Amino acid sequence: MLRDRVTGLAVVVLGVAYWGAASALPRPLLQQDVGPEVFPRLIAGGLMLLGALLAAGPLLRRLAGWPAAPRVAEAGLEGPADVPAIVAVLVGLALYTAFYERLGFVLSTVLFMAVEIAALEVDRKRWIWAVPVVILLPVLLYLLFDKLLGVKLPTGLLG
Amino acid sequence: MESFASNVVTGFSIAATPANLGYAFIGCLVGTLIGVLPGIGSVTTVALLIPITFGMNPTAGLILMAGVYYGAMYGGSTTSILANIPGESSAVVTTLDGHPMAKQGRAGAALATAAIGSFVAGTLSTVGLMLLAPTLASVAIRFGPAEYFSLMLLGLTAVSALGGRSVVKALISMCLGLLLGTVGLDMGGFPRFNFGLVELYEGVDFIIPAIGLFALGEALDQAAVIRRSQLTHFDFRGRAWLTREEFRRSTAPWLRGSVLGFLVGVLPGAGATIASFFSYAMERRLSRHPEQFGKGAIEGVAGPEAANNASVGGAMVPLLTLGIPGSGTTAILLGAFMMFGLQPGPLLFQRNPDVIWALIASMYIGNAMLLVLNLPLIRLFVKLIDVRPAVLVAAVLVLSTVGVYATNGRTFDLWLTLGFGALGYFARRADFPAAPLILALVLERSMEENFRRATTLSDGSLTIFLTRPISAAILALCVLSLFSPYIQSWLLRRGNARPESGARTGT
Repeated sequence: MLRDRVTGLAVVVLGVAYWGAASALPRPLLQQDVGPEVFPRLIAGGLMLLGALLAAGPLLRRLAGWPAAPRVAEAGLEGPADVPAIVAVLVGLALYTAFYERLGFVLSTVLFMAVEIAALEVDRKRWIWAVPVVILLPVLLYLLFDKLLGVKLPTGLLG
Repeated sequence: MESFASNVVTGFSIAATPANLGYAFIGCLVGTLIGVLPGIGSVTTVALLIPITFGMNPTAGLILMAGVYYGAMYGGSTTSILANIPGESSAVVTTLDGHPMAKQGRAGAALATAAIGSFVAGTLSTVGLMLLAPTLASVAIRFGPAEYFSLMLLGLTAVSALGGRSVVKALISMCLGLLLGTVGLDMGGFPRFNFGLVELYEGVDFIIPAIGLFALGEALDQAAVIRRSQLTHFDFRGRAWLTREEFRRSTAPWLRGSVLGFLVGVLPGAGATIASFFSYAMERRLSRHPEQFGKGAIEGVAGPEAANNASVGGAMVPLLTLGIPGSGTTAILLGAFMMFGLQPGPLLFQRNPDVIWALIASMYIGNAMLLVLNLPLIRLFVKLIDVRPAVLVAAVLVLSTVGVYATNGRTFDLWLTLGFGALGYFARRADFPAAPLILALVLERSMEENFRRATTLSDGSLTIFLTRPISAAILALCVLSLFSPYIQSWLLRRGNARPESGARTGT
C-alpha cells in the first residue's frame, strides 16, 4: 500500500533524525559507561528498522509469512470519513484554544459547544433540546473545578 | 498469612468509610453510564478523570478510577444486547447472542445473566487478585534492574502484538511513545530533546497524549460517522431476571468465564476483549447445543460477560505487583499512581499496603454495588442510548480540554493535545493503535533507569540482559509474544471451525 510505504519512510527519517539528535547530546563531564544518548539510540534503531519493515511490508510479509493480527471490531471506524465534520471539529478546537483565555472558560465553551452541535447535528429540530446542555455544562464544570477542586479556570471577559 | 488477613481487614476498614464508599459508588455509576453510551470507552473515561482526581487523596482517587474501569466493563453489555452496538471492544462478543436474545423478547434474561455474571466474575477475580498479588510481589522483590527492564519490554511487546491489526505498526507506535518519554530532563538532570522550549523542560505530561489520542481520538472517530449514522430508538420493558432454567444454564459459564478471564487478564497484553472471545469459543465447544450459538444462546452471553469483567481483576495483578500495565486503561491507571507519588511494584506492598488493600477491597464492594444498582436501574440506563451523539461529542471535547488545562493551567498544553488528537485520528484510520504509545510513554522513565543501572553493573555491556537467566527467559517471552497473533488466530479458527467435535468432548 502506498500510504504504508510513505509512512514507513517517514518513520525511518524520524529515526535517523532522532539518532542524530541523540548523538549530539552533550556528554556528562564524568565519563560514564552509559550516557544519556544510549537508550535513545536504541529507540532510534528500532524506528529505522520498523519503518523499513513497514515500507517494504507486502513483499517482506509474503517472504516471512508475517501474519496480519486478527481484526478487532472498533466502533466508528467503518466507512469513509466525513471530512467536513472532521474539519469542523479540528478548526473548532483550534479557535476554542486560541480564545480560551481571552474569552474565559464559560463564554468560550458555550460558543464552542453551540458551534460543534450545530455543525454535527443533522436534525435541526434537535438544536433547541441542546440549549440547556450548552449553557449548563460549562457553568457546572466551572463550579466543579473552581469551587470544589480548587483549580483556576480563565474567567476572561466575565471575570 | 496472618498479615494477609490483617491486610484484608485493614483494606475493608478503609474502603468502607462513608467517603470511600461514596467514591466507589460514583465510580461504578459513572463507569456504567459511560459503558452504556456507545462510542466512549473506559480508557477515555479514566483519562478524563485524572485531572479531577488530582487534588484527592490517592486512595479515594484510585478507588474512583477503578470503579469507572469495571463499571464500564459491565455497562458495555447493555448497549450490545439492546442495540447491537458494542460500547467497548470487549463487548463485541456479547452482541452475537445477546442481541438475538433481545429480538426474541428475552432481553431481560440477557441483561440479568450479564449483570449476575459480572458480579460473580468481579468477586472471584478480586479474590484471585488478593491471593496472587502478594505472592507475585514477594517473588518480584528479588528482581534486579536487568529483570525489570526485560519485564517492561515484555509488557510493551505483548500489548503491541495483541492490541492492533499490524504488529509492525503497533511497535512503531510503541517506539514513538518511548521517544516522547525521553523528552525532558534525563536521570542525570540534563535536558534532552526539548527544542529549547521551557514547556517541554520536564517532558511531556502523559495526560496530554492520553487525552489527545484516546478522548479526542474517539470524539473524532464519532464525528467522522455521526452525520450519516442511523439513529435507532430503544426501549426496554419488563424485568431483568432469570428463570430457574436460565439460571442453571448460566452458572457453569459464569464460573468458567471468571477463571478464564482472570488468567487472561494477568497475561500482559491480553485484556478483556481477548478474554471474551476465548470464553465464547470455549462455551460453544463445551455446549451440547452449539447450533444455538449466534441465535440467542444464554451461555454465549453469560461466559464472555463474566470473562471480560474477571479480566479487570487479573489485569490489576501485574499492574500492582510489577508496575507493568497490560492495556491502555491500566497504563493510565499506572500514570495516576505515579501522579500520586506511588510507584506500583513489589515495594508498594510494603510501603503503602493501606492504599493497595483499600483499592482491592473497594473493588469487591463495588461489584456488589453494581449488581444492586444495575438490575433495578436498567431502564434508566437504557434511556442514555438515546443521547444525541452530537451533544456527546461536544461534551467529550470540552471535558478533554478542561482536563488538560486544569493540570498545568497553560494553553500550550491544549495545542499539544490538539496535535495528538489529530495525529491519533489519522493514525487510527491507518491502523496504528494508541495503547502501545501511552504504555511506552508511561514506562519510559523507569525503563531507561533500569536499563542504565543494569548496563552500569555490566560495565556498559548489553549482554547482561541475556546472561541473567530470568531476564533472558523474559526476553524469550518478548519474542514469543510478537508471534502470538499466529497462536491467537489459530485458537479462534479452531473455536469457530469445530463446533460439532466440541460437542462430543463437552461436559
